[in-house]
Amino acid sequence: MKPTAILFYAAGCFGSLLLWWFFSQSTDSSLHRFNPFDTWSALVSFISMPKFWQGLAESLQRLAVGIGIAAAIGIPVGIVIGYSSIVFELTYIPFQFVRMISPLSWTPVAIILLGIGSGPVYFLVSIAALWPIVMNTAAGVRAADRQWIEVAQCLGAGHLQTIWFVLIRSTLPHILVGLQLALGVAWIVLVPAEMLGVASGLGYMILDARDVNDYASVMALILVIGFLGICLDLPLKMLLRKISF
Amino acid sequence: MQKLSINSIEKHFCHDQGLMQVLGPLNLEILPGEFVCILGESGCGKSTLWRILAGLEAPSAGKLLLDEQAISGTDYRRGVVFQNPALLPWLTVEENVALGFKIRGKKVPKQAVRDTIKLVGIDGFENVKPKKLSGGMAQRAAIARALVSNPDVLLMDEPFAALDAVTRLRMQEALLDIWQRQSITVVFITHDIDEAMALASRVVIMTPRPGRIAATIDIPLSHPRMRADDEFLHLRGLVADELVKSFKKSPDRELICS
Ligand SMILES: Nc1ncnc2c1ncn2[C@@H]1O[C@H](COP(=O)(O)OP(=O)(O)O)[C@@H](O)[C@H]1O
Ligand SMILES: [Mg+2]
Repeated sequence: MKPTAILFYAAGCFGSLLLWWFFSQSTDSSLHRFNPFDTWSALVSFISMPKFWQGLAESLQRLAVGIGIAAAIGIPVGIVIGYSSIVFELTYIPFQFVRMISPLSWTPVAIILLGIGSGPVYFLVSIAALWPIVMNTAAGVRAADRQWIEVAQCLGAGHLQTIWFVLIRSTLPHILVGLQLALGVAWIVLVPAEMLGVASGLGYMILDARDVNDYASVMALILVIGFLGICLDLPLKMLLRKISF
Repeated sequence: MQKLSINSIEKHFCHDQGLMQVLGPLNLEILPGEFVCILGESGCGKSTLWRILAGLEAPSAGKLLLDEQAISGTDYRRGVVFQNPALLPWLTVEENVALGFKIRGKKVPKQAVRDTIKLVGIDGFENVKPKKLSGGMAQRAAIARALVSNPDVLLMDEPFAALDAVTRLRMQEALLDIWQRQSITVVFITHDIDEAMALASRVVIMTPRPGRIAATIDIPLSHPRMRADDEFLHLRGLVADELVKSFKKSPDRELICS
């Protein structure tokens, strides 16, 4: 990275903090409650709070399970859709239809089917993460160079060998982009999902803090959520650079 | 290898204006050990014929026979080399060459893979990714990938057309060397008279679309060929004349209305 780039990245962060501080200085007392200094003390107090770390772990675990389910279903489905134009045509309209529905609108369905607890959260996170994975995987398979497929066929490959030796690897960068997008939406859905039916996790903790008028903690949790989002995105971005060809 | 017979093969493609006859009817026999160059202008259906021979495309009519047995679909015993190398970019040269064995679920014969890489003259580049190779070297790797399975016949579609003139000459020499050492059969598509003259033991000239056999000329010259020799020049002249004559043999009914 160029030194000037680092400078600008740092300036962007500092500028945002300054803006935040500026607005929290307003005479409106409700805005003042969210000021950066109180938020910072709340953040520091989190470090020695086991309940915070538990909630964090709980949220990350739900995220991992949800994305894991989405990937386990979405990658094979995406490959089949990308490979077979018949399956593509069969699934196109239903999938586009379901994809456009906000994942959170499934909440009542999820709760009726899976009861109260982590089940509905897994469900909502997976359904949010599923579509980017399916769509990107399918697009990746369709974008594969036809000649690679023909080379494999001429070397004796049938459908399965073509998928295994050519398409999965050639689609890997697309799958990773899908996972990256999935992570983004899953992280977005996770927090409201945790406000609905569970008694742990970062989403729940935000509501909990609000109930006792602890606005500094609300802000601190929001910062943690945003920061974790960046942290989760980064390794995928680096992996993507490594496997691109 | 056995005899490869092309038996009244035809190919039509659907176009806006109807069904277009691209190829045939076309008959040709390719004997073991031959180096057949198929020569014709662009668009005459050479690649289509090559795809049919490779099994990548089914003919609209006619049959492909290997030793009197009808064949269809692809088969690793018919090795193919595309116009561009078409190496898998995420694999190294060695992995690309060994790919066929992996696909067929066979143990990779490491020594044979190394030997073939050496044969085509890219030893030392086994662990390099295709992106780092020049066009000529990448095409050598593609030839090795086809050769390593000991194919009965090597099918090549203008494999050197994208290379610069000097590299093309080098590649022709390398290919002749391989052909002589391995005593394989080669079907080599080209639109370049000089290339055909440098390589072929028989030149087959195709008419413009729909591609048919216009003429077949044996080139009974040994290698290395002296391009300035009278006999060479005489044969080259014959080939060029036949090519010119072939333009007039193409019938005008290209479109069969459907
Ligand atoms: N898949 C296809 N669909 C329709 N037309 C095709 C197809 N493949 C080739 N053609 C047509 O067939 C003709 C011969 O093509 P090709 O075999 O590639 O010729 P050559 O290799 O001799 O240049 C061309 O006019 C081309 O447009
Ligand atoms: Mg061609």
